[in-house]
Amino acid sequence: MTDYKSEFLQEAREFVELMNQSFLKLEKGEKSAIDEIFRAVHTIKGMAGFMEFKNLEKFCHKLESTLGQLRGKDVSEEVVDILLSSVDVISEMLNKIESENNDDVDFEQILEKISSIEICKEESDTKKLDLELKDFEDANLKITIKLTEDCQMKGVRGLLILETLKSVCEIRATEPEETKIEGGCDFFIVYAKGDANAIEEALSAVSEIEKFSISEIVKPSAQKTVEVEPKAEKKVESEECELKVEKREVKKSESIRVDIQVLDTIMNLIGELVIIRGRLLQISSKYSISELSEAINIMDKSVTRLQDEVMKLRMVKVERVFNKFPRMVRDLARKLGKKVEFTMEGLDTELDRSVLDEMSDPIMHLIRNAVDHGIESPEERIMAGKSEVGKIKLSAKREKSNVVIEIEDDGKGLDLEKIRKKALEKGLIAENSNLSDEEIKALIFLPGFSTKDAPTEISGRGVGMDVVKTTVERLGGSLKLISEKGKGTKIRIILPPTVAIIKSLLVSVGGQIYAIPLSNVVEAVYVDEKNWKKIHGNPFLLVREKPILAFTLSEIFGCNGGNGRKVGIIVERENEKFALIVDSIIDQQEIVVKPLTGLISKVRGFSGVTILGDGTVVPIVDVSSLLGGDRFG
Amino acid sequence: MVKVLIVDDTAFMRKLLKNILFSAGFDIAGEAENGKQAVELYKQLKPDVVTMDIVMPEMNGIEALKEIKKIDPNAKVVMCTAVGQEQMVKTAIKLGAKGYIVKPFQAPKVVEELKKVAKV
Repeated sequence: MTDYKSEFLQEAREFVELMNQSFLKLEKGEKSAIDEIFRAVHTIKGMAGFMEFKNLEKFCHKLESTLGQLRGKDVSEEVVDILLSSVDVISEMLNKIESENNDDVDFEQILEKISSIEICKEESDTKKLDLELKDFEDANLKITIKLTEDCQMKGVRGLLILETLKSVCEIRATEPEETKIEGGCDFFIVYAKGDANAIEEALSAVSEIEKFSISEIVKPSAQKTVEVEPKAEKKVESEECELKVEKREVKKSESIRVDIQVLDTIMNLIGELVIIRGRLLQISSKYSISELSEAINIMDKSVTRLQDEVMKLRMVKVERVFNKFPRMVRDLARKLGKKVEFTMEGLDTELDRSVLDEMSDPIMHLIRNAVDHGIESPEERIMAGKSEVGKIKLSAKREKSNVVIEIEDDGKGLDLEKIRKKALEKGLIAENSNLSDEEIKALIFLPGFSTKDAPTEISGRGVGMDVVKTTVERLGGSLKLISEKGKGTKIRIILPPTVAIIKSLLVSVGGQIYAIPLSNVVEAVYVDEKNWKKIHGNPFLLVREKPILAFTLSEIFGCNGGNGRKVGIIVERENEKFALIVDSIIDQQEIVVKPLTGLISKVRGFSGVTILGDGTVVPIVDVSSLLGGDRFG
Repeated sequence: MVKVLIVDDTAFMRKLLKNILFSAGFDIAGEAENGKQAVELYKQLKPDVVTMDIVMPEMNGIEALKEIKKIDPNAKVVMCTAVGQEQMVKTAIKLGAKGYIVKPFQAPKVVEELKKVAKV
């Protein structure tokens, strides 16, 4: 059984996710969402039963029957609250199953709440039952008939059965209706008044019936049972259909689950292959054996394709992470007494799985911030002449070779004065420092900065804006903050779609080759006497008359730079430009990033290494940490 | 032994059915090549089961069924039909046919149908 546990948990969690989304749809009035929820609960119940987690099974069962009664009805916010918290109970059970292998979670309280939903709904249900019952009130038998699979002319057979039955009893109702049976169906139910033995005898004279059963309908006290039975029967049938549909879908996409670690290993191996390919290319050009170079050319193409395909494998839709946000925003807004309309765009934008996973928490933090700090209370909003409902938009889109994620709200925007004061208090800036608006905005990204005096339950979770920024930069991306007081805040995150293979500029410094990620590079200019200036002792490179602070890499790395004309690589970091002075540019190429591990993993200034075709190990410059204060801490 | 009357206007079909039913242990009481003959033979032979083709000269299977039912309301008639003739079989069933077999015949199905109808 333990073999299945991880699969069970994974799938169950997917269903929990689906339920969260569907409940929100339901709240918005999409009544069909309840069917999806129903299916999810039912599947979890089935799986739990198989795995012998009794509490979970019982809880799902209860939830299922309640949901059944909500079908086709309008559902209030309060009911959705209860239902959402019941989804949380399921999650909690799943967590407990994962960590302790049992599902002992107290769910009595929530069960009571769920039951309270039922009571107010029950009345209308019984009325409906009565109506449906009238047609076959005096039926005493329920006959179910299933035709054989190879039955020829099912409609004719159905008619023959009905005619045969009519000769021995009185048919009160059928399911489906008679015309449908005559149209041909494998399975049907007949409610009739008559003698069971006679019916049995008559039916046994009809061929191509796989099986039939005749049961007495128990009458007097419980009219309900009459109805309940066929209903249960119907359910089984429709579930069968659903199951079939599901299977077909699986067949169509023919997908399998793969552990992300396996993908990483494959990616690594392909990285090695790419390096070897480079070596072989070099060797073949050295010896110029035509057969060899032909073979290598073919291999070259295959490896390139293989690399592309594996990169695609790693891509997942942002939906995977984004989908949990609507529920979060809803709960948060309700808790804070704010009204928020949360929209998402570009859900099918694809991003490398590891990038997306890393970004999950930062994006969540930004959205929390938007709800907590950005959007004002309804009263404040009305005072400010805005609509009572605040808007938050989360979007993802592909822009050239990057993926852009934006979080936008129409709240109160950043209060620059407040930020400045706070930074002063925390000793992050000096009393007399004269900062531009942009510089003040940048302050919120400093570690240990928070404008709320007492962090609320929501925002005090350890992930600060500084973590958001460092995560984005570590992934080779950049972050921009646009905010206008009273109008709102927009945070724009630009990410490379993948981290494993990047485009880079190979440069030479003191005879050693270094790689600079192209995502950081703005432009490159030759250094000469005219554009090289020293201002207050600091070197600057003039680019189109604008001074840019310059860093000579040979000095930073402590080696002797080469002679001759140097090149200034202009890089961008947090809206600021810097010039890195190198000896020369060698090439521009795609490199496979190998992360630094062990002792050297803490070296700042480098994000990893790569191996070139000839086997040379090349450090990859991490612009952000290279220029970030304590260089080799 | 169950006595069968085979009604079909083609000799080939009659032979085919005869072979199937004979080897399954039925007694072939007689053969008719149209509806009129079938009604006559029914009166004479009093078979347990009749296999009745639908499209035939002189008198078709539906008419013959009606006539036979007039003679014997409990007559057990099995219609021989082909894909596309569903509507006619349905009519026959409403008129009291007890079963049907579909051309091209599958021996086991034919035998099962007739055994069921004859309650063997």
